[in-house]
Amino acid sequence: MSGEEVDDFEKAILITFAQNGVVDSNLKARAIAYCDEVKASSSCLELCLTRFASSQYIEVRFWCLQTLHEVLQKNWKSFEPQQLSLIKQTIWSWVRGAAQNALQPFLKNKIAQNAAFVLQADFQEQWQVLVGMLGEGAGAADMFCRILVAIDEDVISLDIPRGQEGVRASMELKDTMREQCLNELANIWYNLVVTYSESNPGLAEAVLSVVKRYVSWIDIGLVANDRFVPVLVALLSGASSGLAGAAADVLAEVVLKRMDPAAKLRLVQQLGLGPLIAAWANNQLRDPSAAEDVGPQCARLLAALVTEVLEAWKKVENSVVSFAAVGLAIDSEAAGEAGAACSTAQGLISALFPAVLATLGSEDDEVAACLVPFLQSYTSKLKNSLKRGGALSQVHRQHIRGILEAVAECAHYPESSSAEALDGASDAVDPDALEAAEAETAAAERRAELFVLFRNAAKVAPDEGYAVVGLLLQRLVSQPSTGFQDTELAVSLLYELGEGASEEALKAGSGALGQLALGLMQTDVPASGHRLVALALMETYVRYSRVLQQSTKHLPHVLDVFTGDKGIGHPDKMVGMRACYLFSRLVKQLRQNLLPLLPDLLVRLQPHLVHIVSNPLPDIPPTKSAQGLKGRGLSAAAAASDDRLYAFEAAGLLLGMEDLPAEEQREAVSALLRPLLAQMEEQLATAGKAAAGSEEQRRAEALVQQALEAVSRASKGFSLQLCTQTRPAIGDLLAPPLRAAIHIPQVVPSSKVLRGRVISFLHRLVECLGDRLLPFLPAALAALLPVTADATDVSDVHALLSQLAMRYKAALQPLLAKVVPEVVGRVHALLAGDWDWSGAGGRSSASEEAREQADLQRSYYGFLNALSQNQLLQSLQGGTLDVALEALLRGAESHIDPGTRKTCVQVLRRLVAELNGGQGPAGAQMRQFLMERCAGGVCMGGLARGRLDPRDAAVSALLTEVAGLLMDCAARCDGELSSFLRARVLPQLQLSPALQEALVQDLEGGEKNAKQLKGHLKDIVQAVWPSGVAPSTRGRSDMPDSNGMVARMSH
Amino acid sequence: MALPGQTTPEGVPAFKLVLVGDGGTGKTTFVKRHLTGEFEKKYEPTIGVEVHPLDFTTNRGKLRFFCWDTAGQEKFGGLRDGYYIHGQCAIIMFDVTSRLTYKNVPTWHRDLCRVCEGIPIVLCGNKVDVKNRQVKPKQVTFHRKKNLQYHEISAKSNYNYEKPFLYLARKLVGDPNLHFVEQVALKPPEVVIDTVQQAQYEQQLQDAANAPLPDEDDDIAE
Repeated sequence: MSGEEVDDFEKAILITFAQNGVVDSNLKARAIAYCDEVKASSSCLELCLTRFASSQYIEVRFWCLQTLHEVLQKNWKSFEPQQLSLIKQTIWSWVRGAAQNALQPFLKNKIAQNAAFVLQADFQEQWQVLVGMLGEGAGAADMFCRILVAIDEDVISLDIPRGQEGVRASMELKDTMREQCLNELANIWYNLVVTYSESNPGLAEAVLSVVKRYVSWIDIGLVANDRFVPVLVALLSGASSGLAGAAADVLAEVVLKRMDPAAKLRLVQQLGLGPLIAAWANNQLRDPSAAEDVGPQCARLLAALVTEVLEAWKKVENSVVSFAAVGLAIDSEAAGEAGAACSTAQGLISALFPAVLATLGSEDDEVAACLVPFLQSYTSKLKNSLKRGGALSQVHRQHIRGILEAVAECAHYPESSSAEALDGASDAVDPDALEAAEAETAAAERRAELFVLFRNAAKVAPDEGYAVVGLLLQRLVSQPSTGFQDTELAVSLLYELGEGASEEALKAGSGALGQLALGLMQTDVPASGHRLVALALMETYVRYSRVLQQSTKHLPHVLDVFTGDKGIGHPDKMVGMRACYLFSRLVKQLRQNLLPLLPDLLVRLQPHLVHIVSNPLPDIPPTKSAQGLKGRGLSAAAAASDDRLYAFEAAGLLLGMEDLPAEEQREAVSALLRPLLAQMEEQLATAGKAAAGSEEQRRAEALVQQALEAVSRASKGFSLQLCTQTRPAIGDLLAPPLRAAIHIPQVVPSSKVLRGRVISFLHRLVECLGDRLLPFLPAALAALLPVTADATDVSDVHALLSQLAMRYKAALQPLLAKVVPEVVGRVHALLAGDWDWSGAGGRSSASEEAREQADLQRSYYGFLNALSQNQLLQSLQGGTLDVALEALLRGAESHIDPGTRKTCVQVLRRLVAELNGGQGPAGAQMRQFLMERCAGGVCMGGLARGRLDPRDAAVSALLTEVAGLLMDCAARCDGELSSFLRARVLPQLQLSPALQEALVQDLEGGEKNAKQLKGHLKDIVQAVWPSGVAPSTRGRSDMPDSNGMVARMSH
Repeated sequence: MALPGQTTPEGVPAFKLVLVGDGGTGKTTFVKRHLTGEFEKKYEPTIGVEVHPLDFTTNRGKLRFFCWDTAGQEKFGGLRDGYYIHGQCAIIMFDVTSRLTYKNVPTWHRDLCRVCEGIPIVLCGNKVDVKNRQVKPKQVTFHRKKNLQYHEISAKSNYNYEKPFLYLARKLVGDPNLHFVEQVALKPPEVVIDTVQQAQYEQQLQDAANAPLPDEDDDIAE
C-alpha cells in the first residue's frame, strides 16, 4: 500500500480481507463491524456505485460489486425510478469499461453478475442495451458471454438448487427469452463464432461454452441447422484444440437433447458427423498424441451419438413389442416406419462402430472409458433381441467379435507392473515402484469394467469368445517369447469366459471351453513366474478344475505349479498366500482324483507347511496411510488373516478321505499333527515363562496361535463320521491338541486373542468329535472361567454355552447342572451393587468397562434364552433361579433395547410356565407374583415407562410377547387379574378411562383377544411416547441422555 | 504466491488452496489432520490462524499448499466469495452422510468458478467411515458434468487423505507422474475404516461410471 491516501472505508475493507494473521483480532473485529454498518446504512448503494470506480484496491472494488449484488437482490422492488436508472446506467458503464480495459477476470465476472441481475429484472429493455453494446469489439463480446453465463448460473440452470420461487423465475425468464430474443441470440452466437474463430479462438470458445449451456432448452433448430452445424464441424477439425473441444461439447449437447426417437434419428442423420468422427478415431489410432487435446470431448461426442441412436432404436422396438404384448395390431404403415427407424439406427451404429472400437483402444483412459457404457448397453440390446427369439445377424456377430478383440487388445496390465510385489516400507517411497503400483491399480480398475463387457459379449456369441481366446492361447504356445502382459491377459480372459459359461461348454471331452482350459493346463506358458501371470494361471486352473476330474493325467502339471515356486512357494508373499487358498479349493474339488498322487503331493507340501507354521505373519497395523502398498491385486484386507493356513485345510482334506487305508491314514494324520502339537506345547511353556508383555512372550504366543490354527484348519478335513464312527482313531489323534489348547488360557490368561482362538477351536471340534467332545468340556470351561475372568470373558462363555446347548440339548444337562450356578454367580458378581439393569449405563457414551458390563448383561439374557429354547431351564435351581428370575424381571420391565426386553419376556414366559408345575391355576403366592411382578410390573409398568418408540418394529415384536405374558397371567389367576389391574395398576398409569376399560375387557376375553390386546398395549406406548422426538429409537438409545452428558463433562 | 507475512522456504512453490463446502462437512478436521500445518501454526506466529501451510514432498521437490479453510467464515464479515480471490486450486467438500451437503455442491462450484476461472478442483465426499451413508457413490455425478476429480475420503481415519493434494499438485506442476515421496505426517486415525465396505463403495463408484446400467441379467462388475 504505497503512500497513497487510504480512507477509513477502504482501510476497513482491506483489514477485513487480510488473512495473513498480522492484523490484530480486535482491529479486525472492529473493521468487520464497520463494514456491516456500511452495508446496513442508507448510503450503501451510492457508496458501492461510486467507490467501485474510484478505488484502486481490488479488494475494495470486489467488495463494492459483491455488496451491490446483495443490495439489488434485497431492495430492487423498492428503488425509486431515478435510483433504478442510475444503477442501470452505472452498471452498463462498468460493463463497457470492462470491455475496453484490462481488468481481473473475477471483477469482470462480478460486474457480469450485477448486469445479469439487472437484465433479468427488466429483460425487454435491458436486452436491447446489452445487444447494442456488441458492436464495440472483442471485449464487449467477452462481457456479453460472461453476462449470459451469469444469467444461466444465477437464474436459469436448475443444477443449482433454487427453491420454488427460483424455479418459477427460471421458467419465466426462459419463456420471455423464447418470445423475445432467441432467434437474435442464435444469430449473435453464430456471428461471434465466425468472427472470432480465427482472430480470437479463446473468445469463440467462450461463446460456444455459452451455447452449450443454452442448447438443452432452446429450439434445437436454432443451432442444428445448415448454417451453424457446418461451422461447428469445421472447428472440430480445425487448428485450435480448445475450439475443437468446445465445438464437440456443443454438438454432444445437441445430440443429447431430449426428443422422440424418430426426430432424434433424423437429427443425427442431418448432423452427418459420421465421416468426421471416423476420421478422428482413425487419426487417434495412428497418432495418439495428435488427438490428445480433444480426445475426451470427441469421445464424449461419439458416445453421445451412438448412445442416443441406440436408445432411440430401443424405444422404437420396445413400443412395437409392447403393442404386440397387449394384443394391439400395428398397421402396416406404422410397422414399416418402425422397421425403417430400426434399420436407420442399425446403419448409423454400424457406420460408427469402427470408430467406437478404435476409441475403446485409446491409450488415454479418459477417452477409452467414454465408450464402455455404450458397448455394455449395445451388448445387452443384442442379448435381449436373442432372448425374444431373434437371430444374430452377420453384422451383429462382427460387432461382438469386434468388442471381444478390442478388449483383448486393450485390457493389459501396464508393462511397468513388477514381477514381484512391493515389499516393505523402503520400497513404498521409491517413486518408480509407486508409479508402477498406481498404474497397475488403475489398470485393474479399468479391466474390471472391460471384463464385464467381455463376459457379456461372449454370452451373446459364445463361439466368438472361444475363438478369440483360442487364438490368444495358441499364440502363447507358438511364441514362447510372449511377454507377461499378453500371457496374463490371455489366461485371464479364459477365466472370464468360464464365469458365464454353460455346463455343456465346460466338459472336457466335447465342450469347446473345456478343451481350451485343458490346453492351458498342459502348457508351460511364457512368463509363468511373473506375479500376475502366476495368479491368473492358478485362478484359472481352479475355475476349470472340473475339467481335470475327467482328464486326470494333466493333474501332475497343475499340482507342480501350485506346490512349486510359481505357487505356494512364489517369492511374492501375496501370490503364495493366494496360492494356498486356491490350492485348498482345488483339493476340495478334486479330492478323490488326487488319491493316487497323495504320497508325492504330501512330500511336496511338507516344506511349505513347516514354513507356514513356524513363520506367523507379523502383526499388521489396523490402518496405514492410504499411500503405498494398496492395490497390489491383494490388498491389506487379505493380509489381515493368514490365508496361508489354507494349506493345512488342504492337507486335512487330503488326509481325511476314507478311501485311504486306515493305518496309512492314521500315520499320516499323526505325522501332520505331531509337530503342531509339539510347537503348541513348547511355545506355550516359553510364553508362560517369559516376562509378561515381552517380545519373547509375544513371539511365543504367536507361534502357539499359528500351530493351534493349523490344527483347526486341518481338522476341517476330518468329518464327524470319520472321527466318531469309521475311523475313531483319527478322532483320538485330535485329543492331545485339544488338551493342549484347553491348557492355553491357564498358562497365558492375559492373551485375549489366544483365548478367542481356543473358543473357536472348541466350536470347530464340535463338528469333528460330536459327543466325544463332552468329556473335555468341564476342563475347558474351568480354563475359560478363571477367577480373574472379566465381563467379556464371561460373555464369551455365555456364547459358547449357548451354542453347545443348541448342539447337545439334553446331553449337556449334567455339565450345565455344575456350571450354571458358577456362571450365573459370576454375572451377578460382575454386575453387582448399583448396576443399572435397564442397560442405560452401557450406551456408547459410557466408559469401556460399563459397555462391557452392558454386553455381559445382554449375553446373559441370550444364554438364559438358549437354555429356555433347548428345554434346559431346569439347570436353574434354588438361589441361582432366584437371581436369574430377578434379572429377567428387571430386564423385561426396563431394558432400553426393545429386542433385549423381548428376549427377557420370552424367557420369563417359559420360566413361569415351568414354575410350580406349569399350566393350570396357580397357588396364592404364585398368583401374587404373576399379578404384581409380571402383569403389573413387567407388562403395564414396563410399557408405561415411555422409552419405546411405537414405530419401531422391535417394539411391535416386544408387544406381541407382552400380550402373550399378560394372557398367560390372566389364564393362571382365575379372573383375579383384571380386578387387580383395575384397582391397583391402571389408575396410576394416567391412561384414558376408555383404554383402561379396553385392556381389562381384552384380558377377560381370554386368548382369542391377544391380537386386540396387543393393539391396546400399543396405545399405551403411543400415549407415553413424547411427541416431536427424533424418529429413530435405535439412534436415540445410543445418545447420551442429559445426565450422562453432565457426568462426562464433569470428569 | 507467497502471502504477506508468510515465509515460504526459498524455492518452494506455494499455492493458494481454497477449501469450501457446507458447514459440518469436516473441512477443519481435514486440514488439521496434516501435522506440519498444525506444527507451523504453533511456531510461526506471523501465520494467520485461518490459513494452514500444508507441505508435501514430491519427486520434483517440496511444495506447499496454503490451505484457506473457510470454516466459520460467517465470522469474517461476510467475505464469502471474496475469500477465493487469487485461489489457485480448490477442494469442494460434502458429507456423504448428508444429502443436502451434496445438493449444495453446484452452488459452491458456481461461486468458486466465478472468482477463480479454470483452476483445478477436487470434489471430496467426506466421512465415508460412517456406516449409514446417505449419498451413495452412484449418486455422485456432479464431477463428471464439470470435469472435476472426485475422491471419497475420511478425514477421521486418514483414508485417501493425500489423494486430493496429489491430484492438485500434478495439475499445478503440470506433471502427471508427480508423486509424494515421503509419508505425509498425519494425526493417528480416530476411527478404523471398514476396508471391505469401502471396497464395495469403490466398486459402486466404478459401476456408477458405467451408467447407463446394463439390463437385469447382465453381469455387472463384482
